[in-house]
Amino acid sequence: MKKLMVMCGSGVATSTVVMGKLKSWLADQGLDKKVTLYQSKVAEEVNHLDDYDVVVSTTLVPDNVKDKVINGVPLLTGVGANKVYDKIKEEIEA
Amino acid sequence: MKLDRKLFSKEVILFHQDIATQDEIFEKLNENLLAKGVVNDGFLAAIKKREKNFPTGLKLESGFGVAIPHTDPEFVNEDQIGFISLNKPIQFRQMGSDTEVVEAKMIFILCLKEAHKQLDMLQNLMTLFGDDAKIEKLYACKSIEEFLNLIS
Repeated sequence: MKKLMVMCGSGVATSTVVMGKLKSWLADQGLDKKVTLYQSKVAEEVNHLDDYDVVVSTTLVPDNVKDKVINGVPLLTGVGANKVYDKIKEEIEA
Repeated sequence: MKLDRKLFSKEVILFHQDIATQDEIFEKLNENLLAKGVVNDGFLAAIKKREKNFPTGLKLESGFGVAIPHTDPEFVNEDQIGFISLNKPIQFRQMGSDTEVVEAKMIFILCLKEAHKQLDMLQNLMTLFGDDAKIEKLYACKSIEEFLNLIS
């Protein structure tokens, strides 16, 4: 089981939207049985991102963890969303 | 693709304002939201701080700029969305970016007690943002009645 963390600034608004999109996308891809979704705020997770296989954020994260984090903003607006889904899929299957 | 009219029931809906700074936007919205009991005294400071640390500007597919400021639920008494459209755009930083800026012409301030219960609303708002024609109509909109008909 892969662990996928979705974070935003408050852990309630934009991450909730991304969670909803990812839930339906994972089901469409037949990946929903392979992935557990978690949701939180950046401030609470930033020091233990290694606990997760995939990390998606709608807000800026500190430079030292940038490489680990996928920018989830395109999933909100739809602009460039496919690239983000591809990247997430790649990391789930890695 | 409908937003619940109840979320706009306090009618904090302001059209074509002449405002020069982001702080002024927050002050104006806060004044209205506070007067209607939607938020509490801590809201203004919290929303300013939150926008600084976690910007909420969104550049839409058409290039149109919006922003969806929001903050922690503890400053909110009642689920509600406030709206303001601006004669001249004001810069917001793009969500998730430390360099990109968005020239925002419409602001939707999200006052949410429990966002988990508002997932449909948030998703519908994002769907609305993808509808270029509707966004243009909302920007041109001059009456609350017309506004509510467009979003609901």
